This record gives sequence, C-alpha cells and structure tokens, in this order.
Amino acid sequence: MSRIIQDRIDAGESIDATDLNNRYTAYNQPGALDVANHGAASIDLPQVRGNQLITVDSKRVVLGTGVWDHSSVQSIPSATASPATPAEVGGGSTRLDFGLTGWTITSGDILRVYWDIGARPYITGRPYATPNLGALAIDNGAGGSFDLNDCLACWVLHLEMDTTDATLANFVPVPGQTDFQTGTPAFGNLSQTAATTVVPAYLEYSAEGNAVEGATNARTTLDMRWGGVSGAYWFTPSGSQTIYGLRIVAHGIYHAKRSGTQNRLELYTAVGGVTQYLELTQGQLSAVHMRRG
Amino acid sequence: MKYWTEHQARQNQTAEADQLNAEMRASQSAITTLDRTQTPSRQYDPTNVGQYALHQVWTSGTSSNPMWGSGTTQGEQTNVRMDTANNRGDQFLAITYQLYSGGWETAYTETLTGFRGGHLHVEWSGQASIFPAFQQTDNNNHPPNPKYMRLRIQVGGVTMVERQGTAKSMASFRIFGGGLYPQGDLEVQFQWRFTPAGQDDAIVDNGPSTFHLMQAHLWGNKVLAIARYK
Repeated sequence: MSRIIQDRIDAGESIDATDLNNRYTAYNQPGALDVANHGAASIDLPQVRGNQLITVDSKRVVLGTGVWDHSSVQSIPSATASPATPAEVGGGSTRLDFGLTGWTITSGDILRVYWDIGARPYITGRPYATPNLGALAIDNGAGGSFDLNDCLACWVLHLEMDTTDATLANFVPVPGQTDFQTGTPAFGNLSQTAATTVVPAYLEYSAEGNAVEGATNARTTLDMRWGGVSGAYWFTPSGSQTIYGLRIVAHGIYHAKRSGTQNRLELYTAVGGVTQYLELTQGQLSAVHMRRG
Repeated sequence: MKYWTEHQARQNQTAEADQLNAEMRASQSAITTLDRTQTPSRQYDPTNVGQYALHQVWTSGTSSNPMWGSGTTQGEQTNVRMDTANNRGDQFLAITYQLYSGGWETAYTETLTGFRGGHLHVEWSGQASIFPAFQQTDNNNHPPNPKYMRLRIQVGGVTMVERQGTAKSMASFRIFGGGLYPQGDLEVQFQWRFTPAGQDDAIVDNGPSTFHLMQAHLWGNKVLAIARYK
C-alpha cells in the first residue's frame, strides 16, 4: 500500500476546487492508506476487524455456592493431620472450563486470572494458646508474662490448572504456586505463592494498653465476620501452553514460620478440629487471554 | 483534526485570500494527521498490526513465577528485614520496629522500557501480614493507633494510586490505577508505609532471648502494567 502523493501547492499558483477535491478523494478511497498516513488517535474500534488484536478470549464463572447471602455455604474443615487435603471451591461445579481444545497461551501472550469470594473463618476458644505457634510471652507489667497470640495464621485458597486434557482430572498448581503437600508438617515457601489468597484464621488484641509501656495483661478475642477476599495471577509462558481448565482450592490452617532465611507457611494441625473451619459463599473466577503487544 | 469544512464555494462569491489559505492549511495538515474519520473501516487485524502498535504489557518475575525478585525471597518485601538472630522461628523475617520507624519505603521498582506514550494501567497484587494486637493505648488515655499496611504506586515519582491498606493479621490485596503518561521509559515504584509504633507497643517478647517481634510483611507480590497506544 502506497503513501498518497499529490502535487504540492506552490506559492503564486492558482488553486481551485478540483485540486482540493482530488486530494480529499484520494484520502478517502478505501484501502489506500497505511501507517505512514496516520496521525495520533487515528485508530479506534471502527478501523479494527475481528476482536483479537488485544484480547484473544475471556471467560467467567460464578464461583462457590451460587448464593450471595449466607443461607448456603461451603464448609472447609481444618486439617488435623499433615498434609491438608485441599477442597475445591464450588465442589467441582464452578471451575473454568476452556472446552475440548482448551486455550493455548503462546510466548507472546499473557493469561490474567482473577477471583473473589465471600469467606468467614470460625474458631472456638484459643486452641492456639501457649506453647503453640505464635504464642507470644508479653511483659504483663508486673514482672511476669502474658499470653498474647501474633495471629499470623491463615486459611489458603490457591489457583490450579489442568494442562493434560479436557476431562479436567489432572489439576496441578499453576507455575509459581506451591501445593503445600511436602514436608513434616507440610509447608509452602512464600517464594512459591504466586496464586495465593489468604483468609485470617483468628484475631485477638491487647484489650487496652497497660500502664507500663510495652506491656499488656488483658486481651480481646474477636469473632471473625464475613468478608470478601480476592486474588490474581498472571501467566506468561516461555513457550506455548494449552490450558483446559482452572479451579480454586481451599485448605488450612497455616501459620508463619521460617527455616534458615526462608519464610514459609506451615500447616498448623494443633489448631485443627471440628470447631475450626472456613465457610465460603459465592464469588467469581474469571480469565482473560490477551496478547502482550 | 477536523472535517474538511473550512470553506464552501458559492456562485458569484467574492473569494478572499484567507479562505483559500485556510483550505490549504487543512489540506496540508491532512497529509500527516489523518484521523479516525478518514481511516478506512475494518482495516486492521492481528495479521497486519506490528508488535506494540496498539498496546504493550509488562510483568514482574519470570515465565515460571510472576512474582517480583528471585531466589528464596521471590515476591517478598526485603528492604526492611529482620535478622535471623532476632527472629522467633514462628514468625517471618520481616519488618520490626527496631528497623523501621515510619515513612514510605520502596519494595520494588519496575522500569517500563519502550513506553510510547498513552494510557497506562498498573496492578499490584500480593499478601500483607501485620501484627495488629497493640492498636489500643494506655487505658485509652491516648488516641488509638490502628495498624495499616498502606500501599501506593508511583510513576516517575508521582503517585498514581494509593490506598489505606490492609488491617487484618493476614490479608490479600490488589491495588491498581491508571493515567495518561508521556513517551519514554517509565520507572514505576511500588511502595509501602506501615503505621509506626504507638505508646504501648510491645516490640520484643518477654522470653529469655527478647526476640524482636515481627510487625509487618509483604509477600506473594507481583505487578502488571498495560500500556494502551493509539
């Protein structure tokens, strides 16, 4: 396709409507223009054919129980033995299914995944009391110590994908995400939590400050309420990768730990039991397959 | 650019120089600045549009892990980080009040090389852990000191978006913003600011080792930037 060139208009030369009309007609003929003729903001949706210039595909599914209020909930049990058994959010009926051919993400593409859901953690009493994980011995202002927990404990929701086939029977964590299935007790390093969402497991505060600075001798344990949690994941494979489905799994309870200089979440079975569980309601799981440029 | 409506010729009209000059200027400007009203419809599809012609995407991390950084601390905030000797084994190596007294800190910087000017959308997603137990103060004689892990994104040193941040002990967050920016490589900074210690904060435990108490940590962090050109 050529650049349009018309005779230029010289000083002193006569100009009439024909000159201008010829030039105007040239600019308006279909297929006669290329990028050399375009100025800023010269392209918008009418100039685009098809819908894959930026976004290749997108899909969304309702995640969880399908009920916005709390009349129907999915209950996730806390683990009493290691490793925890992940429970699929929605019980298998609310996963993203990309069909028989799946979505093929090439090296020039990005897969963007987002999810959210309503969550409420339950706990009875203080099963995390000293000497368990996070039990801090705080100066009580009278020469002794007071048991206050750091509450660095959480439930985990993480993203899994199936790259085997459309039967969706082979889900594994997405790249950069641990499955929390190794170790004794099972743990996941923070450097492998690319597709993780956390829900705090319990919460307690120093009821009020002690007259002695840096001390406390009273605490308030709060019942956790319903709240929305969300997560995101971005996948940019180095080669082509076909994905047939995505799902979210939930498990817990984990607590902060470190090994050497490696921070991790470690399964906290000491707080596991029938009175500690996580309730989930409804949310959504959505994916966008787009070009990176 | 405007439509070609500078002048409409009428019979028996007296032509004036300015009319012709205006027409000529409109004609010349059309050579270099064709706008969308003159660009053919349905002209472009993925087969004839060059790379980064319409948009461009940057992400942190690698193809196997989108989180920023590398190694055993990938995705974590590391610029304020407790030493192992002062750490309880059941807390993260992270921010303590012995190391941090307030103010904004840059957790990560992403340079958007090749930005061509246009609209920029930036997302930051991750987890924040905080120790919220000492939010009340001496018998409520002092104002309370609620703990937040405040977050903001700066582009070229100017704040694009900022949020109050997380307030629970373990929380996931996503912060995103957008704006118009001029052509050139852009430096995007991802910053945090944790609430400084109040009057009654316990900053060590009462054990024989008086370990420093972890106050906050950012982990599982990844960023995404999308430029839209026209």
